[in-house]
Amino acid sequence: MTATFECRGLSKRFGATQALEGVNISIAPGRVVGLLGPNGSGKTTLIKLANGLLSPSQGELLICGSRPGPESKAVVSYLPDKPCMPQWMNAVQLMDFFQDFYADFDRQRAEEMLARLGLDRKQKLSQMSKGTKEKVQLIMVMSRKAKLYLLDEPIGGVDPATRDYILDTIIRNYDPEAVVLISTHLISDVEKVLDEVLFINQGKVTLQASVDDIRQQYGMSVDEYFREVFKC
Amino acid sequence: MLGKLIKHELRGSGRTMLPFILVSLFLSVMAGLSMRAMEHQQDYSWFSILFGIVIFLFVAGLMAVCIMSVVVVINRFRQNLLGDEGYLMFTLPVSVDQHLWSKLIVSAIWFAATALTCMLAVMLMLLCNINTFEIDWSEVGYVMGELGRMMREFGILHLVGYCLELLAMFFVGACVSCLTFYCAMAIGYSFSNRKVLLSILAFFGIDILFSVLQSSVIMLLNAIPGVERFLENLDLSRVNAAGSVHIVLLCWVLYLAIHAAVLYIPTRLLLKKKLNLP
Repeated sequence: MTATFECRGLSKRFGATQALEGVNISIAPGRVVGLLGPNGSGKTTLIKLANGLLSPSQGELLICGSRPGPESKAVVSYLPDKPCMPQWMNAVQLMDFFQDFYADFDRQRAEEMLARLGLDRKQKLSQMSKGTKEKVQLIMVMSRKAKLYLLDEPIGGVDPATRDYILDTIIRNYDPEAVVLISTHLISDVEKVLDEVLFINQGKVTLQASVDDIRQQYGMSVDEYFREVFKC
Repeated sequence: MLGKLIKHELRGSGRTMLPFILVSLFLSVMAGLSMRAMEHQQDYSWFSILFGIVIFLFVAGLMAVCIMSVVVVINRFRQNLLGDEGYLMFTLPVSVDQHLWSKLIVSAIWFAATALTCMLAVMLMLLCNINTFEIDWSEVGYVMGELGRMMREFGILHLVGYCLELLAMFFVGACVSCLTFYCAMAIGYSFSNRKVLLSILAFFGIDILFSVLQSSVIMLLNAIPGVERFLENLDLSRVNAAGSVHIVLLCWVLYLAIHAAVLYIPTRLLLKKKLNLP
C-alpha cells in the first residue's frame, strides 16, 4: 500500500541553520499522528515542505506518491498556525472560494458546522474575534474530504473550551481513510485523539511509535514520556 | 483554474477599484453640470468657489483612480501572495505560473479600466455641455471622410491588425510594469528582515540594470562589424507604408515581450524556490 505521507532522507537548511536533517517518515492511510517536539524543533518546517511552501535542500517528500505540487495540493488540507483567510471575506465568500478550488470540498458539511457555531454568515472575518476566526478557518479545512490533513498548532493560543471544540471538529470530520498530522507541543490535550506519535528534536525524528506502544513499553502517557525525553 | 483565480482576483481588487471608478465618473458629471450652470450664473462670487471645488474634486478623483490602479497591483501581490494570505494561495492546487498570469491579466484589466474611466469622465463632462459648444459639422464630416479614406487606403485587414498589435503592446507593456514591481517584491520578500526597504532597493536596482542592459546591447550591436551598415541600408520604404507600421509595432511588442520574460523568470523562480512567508 502506498504511504499517504513519506519522507526519504529529507533535509532543509536555512543558511547556517540546519532545520531538518535526514528525516525518514512513512505514514499509512487512516492514522491520526501527532508531530510532537519543542519550539524550533522543525515541525512547521516539515509541514511547510509538505505543502510546497518550502523546497527541500536534500531528499524528497511524497504525498500519495507524488512530490508537492498542484496534484498533491488537491488532496492535502492545510491549517497553518496563523490566520490566512482574506479578512474582507465572509463565511459565504470563503465557502464559494473553497468550492471553486477544491473538488473535495463538502459545502453542506461546512454549512452545518457554521450553523452549529451560530455564526452570522455575512459577517466579515475582520469583524470576528480571534477565536471565531480560527474556528471558521478550521471549519473550511475540515470540510474537505482530503487524503492528508496537515494541522499546524491547531490548538495553540486558544482557551480550553475552544481547544475541545477544535479537537472535536477534527475527530468528527476527518475521513477514516485519511491521515491527520497534528503538529503541537500541547500534548496532554491532543493525546486522546492520537494513534501514533512522531517525536522531532533539532530537526531529527527521534521516535515514530504508536500511542499504545509508548504506554505499554514505558508505562506512562505520551505527555509524561515527552516531558521525560525533552527534559531541560 | 486560471479562470477561477482571475474571478477571485477581480473580486478581491474590484472592491477597491470600483468605488474609485464610480466616484470619479459621478464627479465628472458633477463637474460638467457645474460648468453648464456657470454659463448661466449672474453672481459668480460664491458659485465660482463651488465650481472650483467641484473641478478640483474631479481632477483629484481621476488622479486617485490612476494612483489606485498601481497601488492595487502592488498591494494585491504583496498581501495575497507574500503575506499571510500566501498560506492559502500557495496551497491551492494551482501552479506558480497560474498565480502570476492571473495577477498580470487582472492588473492589465484595471489599467485598461483606468484609461477608459479617464476618457469616459472627460466625455461625460463634455456631454453635459454639448449644447454650449458650437459644433462645426463640416469639420466632423471632413474628419470622418479622412478616416474613411485611410481605411480604404490601408485596407480593413491592416486596421484590424493595427488594433490587435496595439492591444498586444498595451498588454505586454502592462505586464512589464507589473513584473518590475513583482520581481522587486519577490527579491525583497525573500529576505527575513527589512522586506519593504529591500523591495524598494530592488525596484531601483532592476531599473538601473535594465538601463545598463539596453545601453550595452546597443553598444554591442554597434561594435559588431556590418550591423550599422545593415541598419543604414534597411529601407522600410521598400515595404509598403501599411506594412512598415506593422513591422515597427511588432518589433516593439517583441522588445516588450523579451523585457517581460527577463522579469518573469526570476519572479517565478523566487516564488517557487525561495518563498519566505511570514
